[in-house]
Amino acid sequence: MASNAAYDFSSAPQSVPIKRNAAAAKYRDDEENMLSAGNNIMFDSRVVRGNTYAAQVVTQEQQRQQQVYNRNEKARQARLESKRLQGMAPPGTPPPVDGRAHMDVQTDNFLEELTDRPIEATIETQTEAFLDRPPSPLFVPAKNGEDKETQIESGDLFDFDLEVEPILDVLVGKTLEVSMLELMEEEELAAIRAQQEKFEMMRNAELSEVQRLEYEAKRKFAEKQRRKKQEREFKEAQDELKEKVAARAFAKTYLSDLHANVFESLEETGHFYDPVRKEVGEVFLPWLMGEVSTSLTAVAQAYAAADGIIKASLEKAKDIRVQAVADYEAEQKRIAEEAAAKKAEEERLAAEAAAAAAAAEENGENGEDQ
Amino acid sequence: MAAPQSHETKAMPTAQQPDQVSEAFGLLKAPKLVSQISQSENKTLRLNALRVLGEELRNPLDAGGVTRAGVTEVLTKLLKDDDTKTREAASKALAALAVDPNGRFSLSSTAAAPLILPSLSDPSPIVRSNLYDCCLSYTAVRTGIDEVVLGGFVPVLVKKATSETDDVRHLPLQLLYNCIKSEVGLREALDSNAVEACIENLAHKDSLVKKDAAGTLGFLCFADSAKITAIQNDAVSKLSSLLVDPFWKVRANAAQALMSIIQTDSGKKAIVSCEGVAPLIKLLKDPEGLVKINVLKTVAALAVHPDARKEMRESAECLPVIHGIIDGGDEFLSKHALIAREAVLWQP
Repeated sequence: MASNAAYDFSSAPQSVPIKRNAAAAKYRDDEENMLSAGNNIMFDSRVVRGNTYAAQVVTQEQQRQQQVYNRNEKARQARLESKRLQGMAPPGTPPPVDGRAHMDVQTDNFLEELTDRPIEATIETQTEAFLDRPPSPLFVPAKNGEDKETQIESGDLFDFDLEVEPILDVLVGKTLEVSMLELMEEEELAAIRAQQEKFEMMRNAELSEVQRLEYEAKRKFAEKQRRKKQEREFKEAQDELKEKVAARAFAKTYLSDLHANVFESLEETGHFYDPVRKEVGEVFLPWLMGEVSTSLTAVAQAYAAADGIIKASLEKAKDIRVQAVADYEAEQKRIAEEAAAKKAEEERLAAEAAAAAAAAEENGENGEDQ
Repeated sequence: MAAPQSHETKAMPTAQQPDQVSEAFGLLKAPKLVSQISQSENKTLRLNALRVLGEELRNPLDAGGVTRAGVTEVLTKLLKDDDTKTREAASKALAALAVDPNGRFSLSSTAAAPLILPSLSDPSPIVRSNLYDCCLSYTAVRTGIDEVVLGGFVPVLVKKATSETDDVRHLPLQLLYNCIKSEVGLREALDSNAVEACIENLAHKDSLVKKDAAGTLGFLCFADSAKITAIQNDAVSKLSSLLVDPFWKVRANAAQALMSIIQTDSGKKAIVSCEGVAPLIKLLKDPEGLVKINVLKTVAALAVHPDARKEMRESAECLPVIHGIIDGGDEFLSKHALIAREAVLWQP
């Protein structure tokens, strides 16, 4: 609530409420005289703080807060009142008994039909919004004293153009310096790269020289190996040639008498001969000897034949004689044998007869025995 | 009393645009920038922050700060973003990061190489170009070369050397050159047919591609197996035709490649058969020192072949020019010119 006083109350002063408890109403306890945190003057909002000589300015925010507080307080009071009234509402109609139902009935003298709704019209109205009381104007004490004025002329404090010059010098100088440094760095980098390229080319040239020398060394080594091989082969050929020459010389020497020796040995073995001599020796003389031998053989054979005939005749005669003797003896023998045989036969027959007789006798005995 | 005319009240400053990147003071500068890059709500802010990062990385102090704030992981993650501009800005920032030693250390410690590899197939050529630049800067040091080779870059680079678009085709060749400085990288390159890929690029219309193809081929052919492969694929005649290219670096690299290849006897025979001796002799008069040095080494190696030696002796230009180089002021050239002269004048 807006107040036209210098200060406002957060809680308006009230009379002391009548307490039901008579003892409590009349007398206050000793504890109530003691300052508690709730009653501490330092924390009491009713106590004005600050300078009490100057006007206490209540700001609009504080006034608005106070208004809100008052409104809320009123609404709370109204709610409590309505609750209280609701608690005192008249009792309602008791419920109908079983089987019956309540009906709204008009008991007026003049009845009217209630089926139609009465003509209704809706009208709205709105009261003006609560207008805030405008705040009280700020108390401005009356002006007193003398007016005085002052003016800073150009050039009194400082000359901008003069003062800005060193700053600009520094700014421009630094910018230029940094730009120059950047340009120099770029140039330096470019120069470094160019130098690097040049160095690489020179290094590649040196590397190429190294490779050239390597390949040259390889070629020389290969050439040396080839020449050594060639020399070795040549030496081998030379040695072989020497051996051949020595062998040939030795062979020549060794074989120099070969012809004579060969012919000599051939001659000794008879490969070289006089044909007439050979023919005489190999054809004529053997033939001659053969003929002589043949004739002598024939003579010898003749003599032998004659001797043979004679001998044969003698032999034959001998044989005849012997044969005759033999025949005679044989005949004699045969006769003897025949005589013997005959005798034997006779004896045999006699024996057989005896045997037969014996047998017959035996048989006769046996028959009798049986 | 003077009226207050020389002063004026000013309105309150307008609020900063949400897309505007403002620098934080002190130690919060890098973390704030990284946090603005890693956020995904405001894509314009992220893009602007990436552009600012690219500028900040030119300062070594700032480069150290942003790497400590973990910008490398954020950038590698942004390479997979759907927005092309974001990927381009992230790749550009990575390229700037790799120039700085702190950035290279950060790339190494976070094992970023395998994460960068899939983005080499990005549809945007700007992204690919920036990533190649990043890898080129990264492989300027040995640890970078080892990381890139271990990350499986070599077979991809060989494939890219023949399939990449014309405007960026020289970059995978340059990167391949760096990778084969490692033995593992050289072996992988030879197994992936890098020699054939370089030979194929020798006939490209772009001078940069020809230069880098010849340079990479020359370095590859320090290996004996690569020499044989190069000779079998007719590299000698193609390199001989490049000896008259108008760009001096192409001539220098072609001469270097020939210098490597003709160390073998078959290489010497190949260059004599394709009449490559005359262009070499003419190139002795080239004004560029690096061209001359490569030609001198080639002449010294080629002079072993009797026919080539005879042609060099009988040429009216070869020996006089070599004598001129010997008497010139360059000690390095003079030394190698002496070697070449001895080789030409050698007799069995």
